[in-house]
Amino acid sequence: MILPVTDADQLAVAVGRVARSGTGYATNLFAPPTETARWIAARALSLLQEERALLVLRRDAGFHRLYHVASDAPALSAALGSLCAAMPEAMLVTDLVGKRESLGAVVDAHLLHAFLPHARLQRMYRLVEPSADDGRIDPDVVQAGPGDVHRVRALMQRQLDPYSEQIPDLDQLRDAVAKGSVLVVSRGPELAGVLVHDTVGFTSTLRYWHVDERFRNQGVGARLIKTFFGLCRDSKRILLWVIAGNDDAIARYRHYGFRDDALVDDIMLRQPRLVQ
Amino acid sequence: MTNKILDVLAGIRPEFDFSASSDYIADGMLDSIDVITLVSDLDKEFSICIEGVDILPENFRNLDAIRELLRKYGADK
Repeated sequence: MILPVTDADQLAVAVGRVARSGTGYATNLFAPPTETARWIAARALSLLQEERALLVLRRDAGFHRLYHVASDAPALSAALGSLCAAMPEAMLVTDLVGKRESLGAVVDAHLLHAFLPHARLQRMYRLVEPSADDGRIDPDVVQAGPGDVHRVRALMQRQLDPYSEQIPDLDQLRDAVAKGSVLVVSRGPELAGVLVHDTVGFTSTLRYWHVDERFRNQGVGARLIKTFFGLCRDSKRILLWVIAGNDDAIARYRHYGFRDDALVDDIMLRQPRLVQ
Repeated sequence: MTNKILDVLAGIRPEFDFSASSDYIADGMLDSIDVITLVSDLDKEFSICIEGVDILPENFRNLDAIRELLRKYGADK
């Protein structure tokens, strides 16, 4: 039975019920408590609990994101079978995160229930050298204000794949702007580029870095990322996720000193139209 | 036990000095993905099986918390 999630304790108890069995334990429920609390408040979460697996659904724009906590891959597969029987018409998207070599059984469990590979993201990291980024202020790059939120989101919606790149909603963008985590470059009235970042302790994460097609090859992206590096002087590492087949982007990140991490994120989709 | 834990942590995030922090989560040294890797590596290193109910950030926040969790599973015997 699929039940709505009405409070954080309900979710915590459900996760705790899933017993671990040796090395087979699998999960992709990595959202921090603040994020899950926001989803619960928006009534966006529901769950399906079985004895050895928990599936959590999050309503998104026209589809559901699917998270799992499972004792092992067979338990996950059984729960996916129950979910697909209960919601045969639902479009489901899931992120399978882990080391390349450890994802096989979890991917297979999804393939068995007509999930198809959509994209692979890979994580890259860059260690911060204390003297490398001098923090010079570029007058062309400014922190976004509340009035920029709609045009930042519009640029993201034009450029990003909603399944693999999780476009932030307006509230998330407002929070990021309030924290000073959104950098923009404008050309006249137009938004030329945006960079969204986030820092926890010694780790900074480059969430989004995009330049409008009309303003590419004009140094807008370089200005944004150099400003960002200047803001990361107190961090020890910078992380980002990039689409594994996007050779141009990967080459650009390597140019700026990023190296491959061991983690990948396999995004899989179950589309009822294709299942039929 | 402490050295073994530090070795496991260094295997996951070699860029950090885990003996110098009292809150790995707040200091951004471990994120939730790292915690799942840590659980798996601790299982292997200490031949235990940490239950899902114990996979909470507070149990992996620092060396003391990890040591206490491992003692609960008899890893110090």
